[in-house]
Amino acid sequence: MRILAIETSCDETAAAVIEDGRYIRSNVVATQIELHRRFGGVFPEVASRQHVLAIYPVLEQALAEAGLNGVEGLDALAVTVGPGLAGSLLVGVNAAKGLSFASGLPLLPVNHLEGHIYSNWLDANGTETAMAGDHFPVLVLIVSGGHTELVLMTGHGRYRRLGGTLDDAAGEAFDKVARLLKLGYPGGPAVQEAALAGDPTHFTLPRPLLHNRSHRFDFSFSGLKTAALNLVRDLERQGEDVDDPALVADIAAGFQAAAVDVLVAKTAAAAQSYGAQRVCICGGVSANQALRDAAGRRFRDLGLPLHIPPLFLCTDNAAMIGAAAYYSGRQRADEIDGLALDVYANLALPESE
Amino acid sequence: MLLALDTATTTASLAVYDLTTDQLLGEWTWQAHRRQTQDLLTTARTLLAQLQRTPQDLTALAVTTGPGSFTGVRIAISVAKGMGVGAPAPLRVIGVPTLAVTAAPWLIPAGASDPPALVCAYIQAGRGRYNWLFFEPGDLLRRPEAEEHGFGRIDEFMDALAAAPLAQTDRPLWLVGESTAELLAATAALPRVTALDDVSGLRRAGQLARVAALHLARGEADDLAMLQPLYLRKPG
Repeated sequence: MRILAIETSCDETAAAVIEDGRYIRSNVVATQIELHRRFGGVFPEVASRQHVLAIYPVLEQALAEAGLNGVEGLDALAVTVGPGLAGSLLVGVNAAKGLSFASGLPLLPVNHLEGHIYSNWLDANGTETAMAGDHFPVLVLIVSGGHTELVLMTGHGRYRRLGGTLDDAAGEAFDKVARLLKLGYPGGPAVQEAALAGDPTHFTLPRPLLHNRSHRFDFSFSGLKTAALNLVRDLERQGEDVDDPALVADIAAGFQAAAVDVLVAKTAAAAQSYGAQRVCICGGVSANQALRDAAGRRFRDLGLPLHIPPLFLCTDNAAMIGAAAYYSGRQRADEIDGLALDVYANLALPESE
Repeated sequence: MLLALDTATTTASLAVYDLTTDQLLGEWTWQAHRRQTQDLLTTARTLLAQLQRTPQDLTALAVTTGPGSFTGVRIAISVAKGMGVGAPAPLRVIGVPTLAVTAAPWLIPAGASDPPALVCAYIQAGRGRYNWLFFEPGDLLRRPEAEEHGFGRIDEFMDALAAAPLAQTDRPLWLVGESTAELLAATAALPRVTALDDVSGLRRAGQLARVAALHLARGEADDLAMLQPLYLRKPG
């Protein structure tokens, strides 16, 4: 089954052709990072305008790179309907509907979070990280600029949300700390880069909710961000040069270590509590090398197979949307009127129980 | 066969037009409010079915490009782009500025009036502001640029009406658009200004199709890949 998938939920205009939910025939992503850099974050109207400009060439390129002649040879279409920026989602969803209307192909709606989960099932040219076979339950950490969620997956398309952030998403905290340290945008790669030269033990930042029993699988990154802010203010008061690269590196490293610690500890605790057979980490922040390394060590020690997608599948892409459309099983083409779809900015992951 | 799509405001409209016989086959105009995305193509499907045609019969598309709600304008343009990629054969496309569609039905009557009337098409631009544009009777195929449009509050709009070419002549001025109580009150006392009623001033995709068919007959077509809204404001 060959699916053309479209993703425009935030600031990447993406289209991909995915075969049998697993094989990437093409994967085109037009990023808008440069456009949003001067705003220090994603500016919604700018994002929507860029999606309109990019969507047509991105679709054409995705079909061409898959070796397809137009939509011939496709079996279905899939599109992200939420969560995300409404104005951005609308471009992808309406383009997908136009495609479906003109071609007669069925159109499947996909939840963006479910897309991130299924990025783990994609075969990126035979990478060993791809999930092979179905070994449920799977414990999933979705960690990105908009989300930090712990999810227990009991089968394809079957989810139970165990917890999530009570305030900021992890990626949001990276962005805010990057801004605080004047490291630029996007914050994730910027903090990671700065932290490379830093000593993560010089400043010990709090690990919010790490031992909180009533929020065992919840996160709070707002407090960590504030702790970083207070640290910088204190250093300033002490007459320190907070623009000094060595100091910035230590603060970045201390913040990153705290964030990674909490993410890995809670994911491990949840995996053990629920008897997970596999652990998946996905979403934009899963591109963070410190997180990948720390999680790799922890789950090796626990003897639990860990899957993290290759870097190009961590950030938003349409390949994962095609995989989710194929696997989730909930979305039967004959039960859905693709032309009647809407967008859902605050769409939650569907829960099965 | 051409499909015309207009989602520039909460009034949505679509029309099917036979380019061979130059005939409007069907048209649907309704208050879509926030249901444009959900209802546009399901309505198009129903209309085509009623006409015993299919989407595969289409050879051309027309869309309004703005001004209007940024999001609304992007809905029809995004649909058109998707259709362009998904259609079995290349589709020709024409983008027509919103106010050119609003003015279109009134240009022939304006030319027949003695002296010829000037048509001012307008649209609510949100936050109590308006966009407006003046059309001469011969302007049916005019596709104005963003910077040609007027933009401002009711008093600025009224100043623009006072400064319009009719100030120097005795030409009548016809105001066309979806009115507001504020606008009707402000224009009631203006000499030579006639505000058309809301039903007559409604923007209809049948007129969009008519204008687009004329452009296509002259061999004009827009590049669907590059087609984008006419933005009268910078983002933010």
